[in-house]
Amino acid sequence: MPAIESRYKGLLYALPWIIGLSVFTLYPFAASVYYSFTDFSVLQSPRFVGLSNFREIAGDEVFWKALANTFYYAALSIPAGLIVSLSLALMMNAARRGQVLYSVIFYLPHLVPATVTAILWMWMYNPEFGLLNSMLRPFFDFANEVRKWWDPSVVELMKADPKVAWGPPAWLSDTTWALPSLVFMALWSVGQNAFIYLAKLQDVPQEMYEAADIDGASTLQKIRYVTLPMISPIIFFNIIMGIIGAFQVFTEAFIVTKGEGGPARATTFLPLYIWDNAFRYFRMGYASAMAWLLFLIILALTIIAFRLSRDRVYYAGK
Amino acid sequence: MKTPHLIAALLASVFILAFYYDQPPRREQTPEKITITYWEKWTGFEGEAMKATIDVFNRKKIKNKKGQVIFCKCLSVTQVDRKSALAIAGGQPPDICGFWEFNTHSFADMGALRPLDDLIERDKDKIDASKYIPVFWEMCKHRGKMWCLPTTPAAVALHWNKDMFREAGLDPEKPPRSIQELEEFAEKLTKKDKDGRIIQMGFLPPEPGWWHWSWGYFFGGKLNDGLEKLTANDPKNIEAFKWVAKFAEKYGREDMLAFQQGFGSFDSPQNAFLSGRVAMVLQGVWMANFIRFHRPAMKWGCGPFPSNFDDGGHPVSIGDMDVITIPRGAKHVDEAWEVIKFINSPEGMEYLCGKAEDPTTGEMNNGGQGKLTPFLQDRPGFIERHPHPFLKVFIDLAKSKNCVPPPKVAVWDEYQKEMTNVFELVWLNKMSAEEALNAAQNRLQPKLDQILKIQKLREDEWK
Repeated sequence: MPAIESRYKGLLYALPWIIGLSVFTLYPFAASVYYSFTDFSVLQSPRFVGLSNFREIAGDEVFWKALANTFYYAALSIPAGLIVSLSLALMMNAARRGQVLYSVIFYLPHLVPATVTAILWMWMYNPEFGLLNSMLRPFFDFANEVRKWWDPSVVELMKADPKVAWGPPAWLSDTTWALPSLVFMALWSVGQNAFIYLAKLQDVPQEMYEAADIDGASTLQKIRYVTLPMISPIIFFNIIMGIIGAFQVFTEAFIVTKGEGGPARATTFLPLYIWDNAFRYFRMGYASAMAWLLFLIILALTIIAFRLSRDRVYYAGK
Repeated sequence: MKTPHLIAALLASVFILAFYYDQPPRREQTPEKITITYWEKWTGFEGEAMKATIDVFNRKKIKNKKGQVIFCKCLSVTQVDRKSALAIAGGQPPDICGFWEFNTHSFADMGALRPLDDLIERDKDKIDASKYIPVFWEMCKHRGKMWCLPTTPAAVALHWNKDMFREAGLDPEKPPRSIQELEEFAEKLTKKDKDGRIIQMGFLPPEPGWWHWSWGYFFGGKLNDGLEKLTANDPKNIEAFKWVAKFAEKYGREDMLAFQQGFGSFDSPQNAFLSGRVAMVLQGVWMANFIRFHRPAMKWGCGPFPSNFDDGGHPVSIGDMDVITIPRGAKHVDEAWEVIKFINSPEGMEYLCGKAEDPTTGEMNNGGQGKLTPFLQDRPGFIERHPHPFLKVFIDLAKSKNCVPPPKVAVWDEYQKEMTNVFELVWLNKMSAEEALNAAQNRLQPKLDQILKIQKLREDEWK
């Protein structure tokens, strides 16, 4: 029976992977369901405590704060990432020459490890000596000059108190700006997504653009009625990956804030708080419970995205 | 056998062999010699001093009951608490773990350590509470048992830059004695440039920012009342954080933030204190080492950090300590105890903490970790030889009844983080001192109650 034999053979060859997956992924995954209903410090055997972890979560302000921060991050980073990477792809697609060069330039930041990116951006964001504020300061100086010219009484006020003058924000040290700074930092490596868009863009049949031209469509109309519908499966794919990625934001925030999620918990994301509980406070049960809630949230958002996409994503051949 | 089968069999055997051989490396155990392992948290010069002390122990060729010579292998392990936790949970712990004191009570709560009481009782002529500075001995105790013994203790004090004092017209030999004086001195020592930017400060509360939980203690407050009650919003703590807010208001949050951007990392000459940007800092006994390494010519002094209450000459300080423990499941308890006993002997401890003679070769070391010892009485000459010019200040601070160790409440790690958050909220004017401390209290007390409830549930496991 060659068919059966080859099936066994296939299984045999896949066995190391199957064992690896079961031992290192499936088992911990299943075990964490149980741990979320226990008190478990890793050092002692887990002890069943019913729903008490979930009850504690319900009353834990930092959990809600972290969840709100995570949603805020996702709400900023997913659309921003989509717009920036799609624009890059459209521009690269439109470029007559040097497409390869642009691709390399936009893809390079993606190759930089997250740790390096984070440390690099900490310097970029330094309020005094950072590149960003050095670039922004002339604009603020100009704005202040305009203010002085507009309303001469400001001059005296500025002399008395330098804080009256406008200046660039302190980015990572500012509770309002710290989180958006991390979003902006994440945009630096959207080259990967732009690449996926570019591949799909080049797949759009030229005839459709020609037909649109004959109908007298403008460039914007062509993007709206031809390009976007044709690449909608990829947009959808990137949104799903974006949701999953955004809700797992950890590395950059951990490095930039030295694991503290500061200032004043402005960048405490849920994964950061889960990590704290699991590995700093040794409350693996509590952390597992939060991790499962996070998983359910991601799952729910993904299902919603699939529902919403039903009439909006065009799959050729269907 | 067909080739695919052969390859499959080969792969399978590699796989099985890998599992078979993937066991912890066998230690060199012979009838003459027994090797034990010690995971130590320190790297750098402090780690070297610990290794040198263990080398002395090894040269002494101390034997166990079976007549084997004990050889201790000292490894520097970063994040030693997390890694040890996993090793202990996995049943393969080292024989000795070097922790921080604040780890030990939570590890003890989790049953991860072996109590030392029976061993101490066995050697009570050598190891006894009466020989130790009380605060350090108490730090080793939790729920009535001893879980560790000191390696290097520390206390914190006010360090001031004498040149900057002189320049500001202050007497360089007279540090501030009260919080009010600290404020006055700080004002005199602060300088701004013509654009109003801060270029020098007398005192900056978030520098270095390692003990934000402790501000209340300098105002007579406290963070807990026993192991079951937190007192984050103690009126004295509120007073302390109001002072923090006042300070931030006075010098301008944004101006100070801009000023702070020029500071380099702690262990560098660009450190805020070492580079002469901040004239007074709260720092530990180790600061003298970094001054010696990076700015040996600096003129500085140190003394008790001022408090706003007078308690009959008992200054406030924070006790801090590195400790040595035997984890649960350690295979060589008696041998590990010999190492702990050696480190807690005058010759071992002085070799580790200061400038002392190697009892096996007669050679002097280069100053060890440069800290005080946990003993009430050091041997003659130790303080004089010590590289720290003001060691006595720290010994006296440690002996003060107002020298506070970190509270041993079960939520300490989170409590400490919460207090840092309180500081940031108050410093950045996001909340009033009262609101922030009330919020901290209301968040952490239920957490502690929950943990205590589970601890009760697990009482039967806890021995």
